[in-house]
Amino acid sequence: MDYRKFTKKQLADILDIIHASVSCRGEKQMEGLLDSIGSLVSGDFSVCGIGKGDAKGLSETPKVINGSYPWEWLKIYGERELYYNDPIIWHNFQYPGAQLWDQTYELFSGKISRDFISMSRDFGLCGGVSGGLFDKGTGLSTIFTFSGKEKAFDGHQKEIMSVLSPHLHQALVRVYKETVNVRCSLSGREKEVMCWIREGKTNWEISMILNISERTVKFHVQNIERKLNAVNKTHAVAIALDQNLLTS
Amino acid sequence: MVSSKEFSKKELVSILEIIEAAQNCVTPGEVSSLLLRTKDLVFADYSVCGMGRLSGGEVKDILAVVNGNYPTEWLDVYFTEGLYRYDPVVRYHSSFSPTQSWSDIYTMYDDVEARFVVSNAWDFGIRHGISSSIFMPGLENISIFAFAARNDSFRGHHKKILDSIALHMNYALMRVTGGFPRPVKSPDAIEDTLK
Repeated sequence: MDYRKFTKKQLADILDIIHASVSCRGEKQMEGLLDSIGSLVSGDFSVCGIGKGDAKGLSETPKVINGSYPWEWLKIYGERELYYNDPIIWHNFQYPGAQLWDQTYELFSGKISRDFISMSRDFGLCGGVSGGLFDKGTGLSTIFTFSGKEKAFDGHQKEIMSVLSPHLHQALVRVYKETVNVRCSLSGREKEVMCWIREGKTNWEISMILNISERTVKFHVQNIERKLNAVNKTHAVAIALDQNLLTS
Repeated sequence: MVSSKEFSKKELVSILEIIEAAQNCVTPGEVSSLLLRTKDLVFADYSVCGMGRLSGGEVKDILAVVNGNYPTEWLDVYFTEGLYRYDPVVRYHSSFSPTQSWSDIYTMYDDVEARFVVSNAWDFGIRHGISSSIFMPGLENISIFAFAARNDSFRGHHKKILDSIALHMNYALMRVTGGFPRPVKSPDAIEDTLK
């Protein structure tokens, strides 16, 4: 990469983002990172995702961290499993690195792709730049996407994403693994207790439902709070829901 | 966190080039090249890096050494005699990670053994310097990246440059050494592990 073509401010921002990627812990910091990159590549909307797959594409529902994408679009995208139709995701598995949407879209002319592109434009996602990596060893693929007006993106932003992608990939893989570790570390009983807390049950009520002592329920709650680094059980439920920890 | 705004454009270009090169390092020779490029960036004359295993707060085993351009005669003496056990720079980094100038480190370890190492290094032109280290908690390993010079031209600015690069160089060193290298004791064995 010829870094001399970038302005001094862009270079400083790129280095700051690399530093932030190295120290990134948790989804909140990842959202902050998306915000910083969005400013650098002129993206109005930002989102990133990670999922397992192979050369044929994703093999499971990806985990998504939203920076500023329209929630309604993300909801539709998830519910209809549009990641299986998304040309950008497909392209990232075949040719990991940076890509400009308009260039990638030219390669996908089928009806499914056209319908997907048309639908995304309805939400203002007209153009964009994405960067990501696919690690064949772990099967983990990451993608960082910045979208906005159609003509807002060119080769310059693509080069910035090309520089940042390896660092962002490592950061997102780390955040993902931390989430998985927390999920694995919640026992079945703890998940059960959490589900009843979510339903608004008191410790006493949970003890009656699960046929255990109230003291044991309190023990499980404290353990959950400790594992999730939560200040109270309401906070723990919020974290668990946010990280999708209550699904088996 | 280092603010990148205070670096010149030329420095930023060099730092990013070194980080990119560090990501692609797969051989000791490439790590050696990284050390030489970083040496030029911080206006040092010599550079070397190594990885050791900590035990009881001290470096007990040397796991790997990659030389930039340290005098090999000095390195032979240093490792054969186990001088890293008394070297104030190694002793400092066994407890502290941040980049530090040696003039500050020397004031913290002013005993007979430390003075012996420093005065011998002086004869080889290793007089002033800055160094950075990365501690790997799970492995109890540390990597030290040392940049030395005959004249003391090191400033806080150079420390910040090194702070920006050290972690990436450590990834490169870990990759080259296989991440979990077996302990070796002699310089010959160290060289063998790197061939």
